[in-house]
Amino acid sequence: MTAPHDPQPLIAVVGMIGSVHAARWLKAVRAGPFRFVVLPVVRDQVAAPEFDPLIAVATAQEADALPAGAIGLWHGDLWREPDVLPPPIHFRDRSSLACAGGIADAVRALRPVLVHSMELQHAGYACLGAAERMAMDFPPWLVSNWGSDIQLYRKLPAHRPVLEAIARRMDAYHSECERDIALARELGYRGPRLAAIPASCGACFATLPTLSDLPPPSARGDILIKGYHGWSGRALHVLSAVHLAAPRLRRFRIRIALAGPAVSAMADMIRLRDRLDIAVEPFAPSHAAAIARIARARMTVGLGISDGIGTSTLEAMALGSFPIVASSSCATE
Amino acid sequence: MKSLSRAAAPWRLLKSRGRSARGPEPPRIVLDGCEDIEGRALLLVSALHFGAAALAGWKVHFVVQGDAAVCAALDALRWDTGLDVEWLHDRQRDAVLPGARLFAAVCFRDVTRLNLEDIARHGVPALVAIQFPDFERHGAEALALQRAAHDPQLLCAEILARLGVALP
Repeated sequence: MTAPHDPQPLIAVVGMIGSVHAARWLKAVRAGPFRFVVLPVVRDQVAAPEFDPLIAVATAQEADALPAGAIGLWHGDLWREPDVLPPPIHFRDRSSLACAGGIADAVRALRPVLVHSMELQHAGYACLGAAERMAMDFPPWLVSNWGSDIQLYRKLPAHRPVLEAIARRMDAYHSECERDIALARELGYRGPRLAAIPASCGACFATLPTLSDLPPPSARGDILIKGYHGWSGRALHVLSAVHLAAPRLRRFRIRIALAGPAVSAMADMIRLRDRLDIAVEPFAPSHAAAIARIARARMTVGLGISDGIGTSTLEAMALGSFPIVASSSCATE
Repeated sequence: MKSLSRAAAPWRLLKSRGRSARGPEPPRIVLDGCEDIEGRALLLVSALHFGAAALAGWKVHFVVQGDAAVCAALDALRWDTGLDVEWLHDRQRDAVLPGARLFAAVCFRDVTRLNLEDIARHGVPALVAIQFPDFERHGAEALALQRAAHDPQLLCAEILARLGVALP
């Protein structure tokens, strides 16, 4: 039995502090019997507000002294020597990402009972290097798979060998869907089978408006489009579909969230040529504002080359907005 | 980091390896790989998903400007369909055009950057689908391809028709 003055066992979380998904996961578990210290995998990222309170720690003693429910933020140098590994698709190189040496130093200093890397291409790759450096001294390693981490990246010749190395080395694997569990097995994972859980723990009903306070879907006039277009998102394909279906969409107000210049330019042209009420929304200042947009929408449309279950899909379902996604996601589960 | 370096090595090999001589060259098409405000390469990639079976035995060159999203989409296309597709830097376009059966592109509003006179000089037929063409500047073909410029399945059918290839 643990003595009352002993600190709770520590879990080192390697992940993006700017990610609302990581913040929500920790929010769900921070009240449990563990302390958590986050090793920020992306240099100079601003922490998502959901992490608060987040307290800087630079030693194991400071981590031991964390108050209950607080999250520690590691302040060691994690970026000194970029790993020779392929970067995520939208990164030029790994110079802004935590490196294996930095992760290994932090793990040696903190001596966690578990290392939990959240997503693969940023955090998982760096942890693989640290695990190889530390060999048997590396603690048990839980790998979380987000969205496209395996489903897309296993198809890329630069990344597949790294994914296979991670699959062979990781001790436990958390994914959002059954599809990815099978893919991890195919890559060489032989560890325990954990239940599929959404990366962000799903929708937080305590903070969502209740359905009885919202207009029924049939009374809603908005169509909300996820505006990401790039390495994963395919918003321009969605806008092409809107253009082709324009005569049937005149009674709807179409709004696009998170749009870049190409998506904005095409939305302008659709407004001009097809005479649709379509516009790009400004960046939502808070998660509550983003939720309010979904709650106004009759349908929420997102398309990508690959995805997991999709947090916005879950939120749309929770708010009575029909989610329209592609079979490249695992929303069918 | 020894084993990690080994893990990364196959990627470098794949990127730098040239084609070896393996008998007669397959028939080739060249596609515009620009994806930005003016280019719609990812729509062409989607079209090839529909036409991959018909293009078995063909070589597909995408001329890109180093766009990582397009290159990743092409890796995924190759994985998903087995299509013999590779990307080349746009500086190499003149090297792959001679002998190509078709040059295809999808553009948003403007085609100036494609330098279509240069493609014609190589004797390569061009299929250029334009999203929201300018009725005063663009010709009848652009108007005829307006729908294909937004619909990957229709675009695929147009490409295959130009090549005289039918879906199996």
